[in-house]
Amino acid sequence: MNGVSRNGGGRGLEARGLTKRYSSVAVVRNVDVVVRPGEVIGYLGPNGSGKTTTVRMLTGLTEPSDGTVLHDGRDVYSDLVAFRRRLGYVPEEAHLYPFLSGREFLELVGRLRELPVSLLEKKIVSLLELFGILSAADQPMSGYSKGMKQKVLISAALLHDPDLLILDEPESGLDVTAVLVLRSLITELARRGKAILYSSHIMESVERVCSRVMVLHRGAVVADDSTLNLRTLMSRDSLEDVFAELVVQDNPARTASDIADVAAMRA
Amino acid sequence: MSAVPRRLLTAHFLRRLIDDDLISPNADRHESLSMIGAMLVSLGLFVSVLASMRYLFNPWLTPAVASVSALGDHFLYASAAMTATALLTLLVWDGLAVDARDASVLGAMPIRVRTIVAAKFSALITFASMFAAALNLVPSLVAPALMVSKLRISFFQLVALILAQTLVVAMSAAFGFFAVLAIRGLLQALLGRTLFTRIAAIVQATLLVSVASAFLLLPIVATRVSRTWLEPQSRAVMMAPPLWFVGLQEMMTGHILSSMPAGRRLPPRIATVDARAAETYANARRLFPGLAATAAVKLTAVTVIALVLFAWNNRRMVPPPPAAATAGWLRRGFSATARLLVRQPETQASFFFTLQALLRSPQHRLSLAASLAFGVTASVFAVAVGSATRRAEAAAFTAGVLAIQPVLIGALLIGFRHAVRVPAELAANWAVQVAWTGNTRRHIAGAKAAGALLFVVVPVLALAPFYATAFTPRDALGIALCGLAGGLAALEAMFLSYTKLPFACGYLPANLKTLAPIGFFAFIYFTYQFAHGERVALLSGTTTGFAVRLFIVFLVLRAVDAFRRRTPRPFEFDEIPEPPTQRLGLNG
Repeated sequence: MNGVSRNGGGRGLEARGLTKRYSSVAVVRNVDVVVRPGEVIGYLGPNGSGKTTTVRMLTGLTEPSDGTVLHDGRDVYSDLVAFRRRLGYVPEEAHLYPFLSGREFLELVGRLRELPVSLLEKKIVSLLELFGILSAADQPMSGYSKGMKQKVLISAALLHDPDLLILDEPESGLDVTAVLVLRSLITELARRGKAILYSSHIMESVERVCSRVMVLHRGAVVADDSTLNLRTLMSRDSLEDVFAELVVQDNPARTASDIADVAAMRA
Repeated sequence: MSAVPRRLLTAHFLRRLIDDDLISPNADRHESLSMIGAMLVSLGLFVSVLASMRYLFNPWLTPAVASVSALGDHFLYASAAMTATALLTLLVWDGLAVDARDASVLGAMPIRVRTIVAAKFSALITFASMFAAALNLVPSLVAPALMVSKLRISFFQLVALILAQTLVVAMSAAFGFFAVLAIRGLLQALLGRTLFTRIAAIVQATLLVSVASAFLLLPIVATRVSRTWLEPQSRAVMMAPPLWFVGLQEMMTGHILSSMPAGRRLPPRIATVDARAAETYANARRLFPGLAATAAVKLTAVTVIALVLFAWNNRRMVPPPPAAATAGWLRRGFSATARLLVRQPETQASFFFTLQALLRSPQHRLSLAASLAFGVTASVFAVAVGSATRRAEAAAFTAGVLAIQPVLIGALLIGFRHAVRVPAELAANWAVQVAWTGNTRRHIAGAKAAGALLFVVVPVLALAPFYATAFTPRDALGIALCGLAGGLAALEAMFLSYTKLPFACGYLPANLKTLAPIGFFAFIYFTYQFAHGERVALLSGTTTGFAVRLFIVFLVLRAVDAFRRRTPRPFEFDEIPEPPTQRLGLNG
């Protein structure tokens, strides 16, 4: 590896006016996403705000009702296969084939991506070793913990050295050490020219690794700026406070108290 | 033990047995259950009406003749109830115990383990009872009534016949259910959870093939019951569980017909037949007390064993044992060999994935077990028909014996063609969608290569020693070449119209098409034509020429397939099935 992306000089990912409707109900409305090479964009939002739907539209797994998705200036939907050759994707849920081992899953993905066998084997062993799950490489994934599955997913997304990485809740289930490794990995990949979209609801991670943050609320983007600018503009100390200001409409302390009251109800 | 949590848990387990284990979690439960229920009721009605023809259209039906004929029918109903219930129980094999998910979800709740276990057991009993009732209720009501419709019988005697048949088929069904539960429980108790988990799938597949083959062979076997099996010197009599229940039924109501006078003057020929039937029944009658006692004792024993083992094995809610790893040398050796034969990476991906899904995914293993059972049954049938029709040529190559290979390979390939349409894991399809290069032809070629290995090469090699023993090693080689070339050609033909991505598309439930019976007869016709052609080639010493012709057909089909798939076409992974109303033409 020379440390330079094949697409170092590309234009990255640009989505304009992305909208998704289900039976006339818009779950994502007019969202613009731009991720340039070398950039890590944080994509924040509460549960049900439309993050995963946006991510699925960006990867071509869900077709948008309106809007375009361009990668290096080309409409991804005109040639999804070509786009996906350069895409690495970690989905929100670790849905994997339970009867395959971690190694077999990576072999499947690598072969589908037409990687040479010798290179593929070398990469699989190295990635599994670096993520600390080589000893379980030949066990069926039905017996894997959530964190182990997540490591397999991250390895699968990196196997073919993609230009664009779309990570949907990549820290889900990972232990503290693995989270630290992941954060450093994202920073390193960005330094090597990868365009990275990092969808999460963990403020700390987003604040640490992302150069810019987009906040989604009820299907629409309510903020899109650098973390520093957002904090300055909204006079808040942390991204968590900014997020609370933007999307949390109820008083969290009050809601928590109400929940405790409901739990304490007696017949 | 509180009744409320147990009732709720029973309903929960029952829903899971139906939704997760019996039908696909993504299928419409009401539609699937309606279809299964309608199919079972129609099957029961059809069989009972068909079996009653010999009573309805016999102008000289006497009570003695009816008694003897009824033995075969009683065997058919008892064994059908037993094997069908055992098959259903085998289908939900993984759901026959409190599983890992139950342990993780319910283990944290303030519910006693024995409440959970009792609820699980109640759900299993309810599930099996619903199935047994749907299958057996109509025959139990209709068959006795049709059987005695031409005899002078009182209303109360008819009610007694109906009640006896209902009770006996219910007991047979219970025997089938508890026998599977007891086998599973015994293996788990003896081997321990870890070892049992490793071999459970193999045991399930073996039992499925055996029981399904027995079920499919019932119509042939039932005709022999009164002639050969229920003779005092017969060896089969105590070894066939359905016969125990036949004995029980005859002990309860056999006297109704056997003690009834003929009631009219019979022509001499009919009188002879009547006398012979009366003698046959009288001989068989001596066996009934022993058979009835065996039925009662063995049903009680198997029920107690199943219950005790169920309670013992589920006495603790424990997490599942760690999964076994694939042996490294085996994986590397097979992988390296296969890569020599399948060169292109995407084809390799599909080849290995097909093997892994077919051999490890429960629902795919079930499809293959069912097709193997059909293949075994059809092979037995082929030999029976072949030996009956070509007895004069017994020394030469009989078409029946030669038909075993094409029938077995054909049945397996049909099962394979169905299995590739079923997603390996619907929620994990994204992985293939994201990494797929868009070349359907290469992907399907990998699946076909795996299918050729498992369902053409392996059966041909497995049958070669049999043919070498039955004929000569040289003939066996010729038969193997023909089987290989014919199997490959059949595989190519079956996949000509296949446009989906194997194991990675949304599942489209198969419709019960009106063309299915035509397909069945076409299958029988073509396999027999193939066997006939093979026989002619073997007798004339032109086996190699026959195999070469088949191989040319295979190459032509392959070229046609390549031509049809020369340009990639837009591909829909998650094609949504038509709604039931549209399939039924109710959309206006």
